Amino acid sequence: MTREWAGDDRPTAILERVTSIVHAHADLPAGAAAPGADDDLWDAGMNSLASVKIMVAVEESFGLEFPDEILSRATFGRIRAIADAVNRLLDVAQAPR
Amino acid sequence: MTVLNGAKDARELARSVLAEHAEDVDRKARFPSESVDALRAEGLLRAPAGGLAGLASLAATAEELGRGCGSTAMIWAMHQIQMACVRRHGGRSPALQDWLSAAETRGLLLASVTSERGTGGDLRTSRVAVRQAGSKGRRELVKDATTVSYGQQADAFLVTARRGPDSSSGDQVAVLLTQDQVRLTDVGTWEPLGMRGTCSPGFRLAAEFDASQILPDPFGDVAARTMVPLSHLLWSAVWIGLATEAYARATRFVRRRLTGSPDAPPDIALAEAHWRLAGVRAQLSEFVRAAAPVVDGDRPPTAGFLASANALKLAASENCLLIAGLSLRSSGMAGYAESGPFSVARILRDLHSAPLMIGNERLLATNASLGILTKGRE
Repeated sequence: MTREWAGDDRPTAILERVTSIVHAHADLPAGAAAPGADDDLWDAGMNSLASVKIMVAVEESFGLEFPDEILSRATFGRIRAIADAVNRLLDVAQAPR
Repeated sequence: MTVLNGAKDARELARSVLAEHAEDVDRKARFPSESVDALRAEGLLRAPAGGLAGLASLAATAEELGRGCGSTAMIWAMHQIQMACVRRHGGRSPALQDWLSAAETRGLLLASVTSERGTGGDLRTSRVAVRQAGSKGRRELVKDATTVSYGQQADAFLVTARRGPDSSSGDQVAVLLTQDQVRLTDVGTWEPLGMRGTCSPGFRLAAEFDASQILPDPFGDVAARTMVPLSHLLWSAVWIGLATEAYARATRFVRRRLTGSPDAPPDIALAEAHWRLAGVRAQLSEFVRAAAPVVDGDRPPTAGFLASANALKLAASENCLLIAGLSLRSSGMAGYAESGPFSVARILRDLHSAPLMIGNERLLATNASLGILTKGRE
């Protein structure tokens, strides 16, 4: 588990990284504006193949594994929702045992 | 037990009305009006009782009907799927609620218009968009649907389209249109190998309607939470019914032949059919259990759940077709004939539709991609 994800600016750093991953992989229709943190990615034209690529890239980038329970349309559908899921998983991973 | 009453009624109908007309329906590629009327009279077009019991009962009904007539069973299944979508995702729209009441009382038949020329069979892509019509609150759409089952006999249609002219192809809504609002033109021909009674030619559909007829929930949610899981569940159950009937006929044939030739070697083709059938049944049962909290509750469908839904459809479509083929191999000329108590010809032809009804190649590609994410955790 990466130790770089600590500190008060962790949520911001995570949101930034997730945003860049989504922008790289969302495969939105040509001419579409880059989605913001709360934009609906499905409505913006993201398809399910792209959403899988995004989630795999997020897992690889943060060294995490999403449990199936959170792999829902709601999580895939907004940058902020993905970032929140990463935050929660990092909390769990970094919790003292 | 109340939960299986629907299935018991279905079994009786399957053995009588459905079986009686199945050959003629198939030969003429005509709508099975006698059978659908009988389903309506028995209240089988209505909503089932809720919860897990409801879902299990629906699956059992699908299977029983499938044993009598594949086309009737598939029409019934498709109707139930669309009805579930309107009931669940219609919100509090008075227009939709009123129609649902009428549908329950009168046993109205609802068809699905999700296919569209140029979208390659992708449920979640639309070209056509809902447009403003002349007056406030009025909308219109014109859709070239490539295949619509029982479209010319339906009382209403659930049609998918982009939310508006500026919406992306995946930003879809579902609209409930009544038959009197719709003009069907350019009706295609329907002369397929099997499922001939489903009467599924393509056509152009033009309609003007009220904005309140648009289902409030985005179609992406309708599809993921209700339409896709219920479709895969009920279609698989119909195919299992068909396969079970083929297997039963082949078994009776082999048994009868044994009476005349007691030293005949055991039929291993049927033993293979048996284990395949056991496998798909178990997979269906497991999916019914997993689907209940999603289809009938608020659990969000996950990537793993979608992979399971696809896996069920893949397994049932491929295995049921194999089972029918093995049954044919065991029944010789009696199975090969188009009529008679041991005939499996129509059953086999009907089951050839299964791998095509949403192409299995598309589902395999989806599951290959999902598999990397879910890693088998479902």
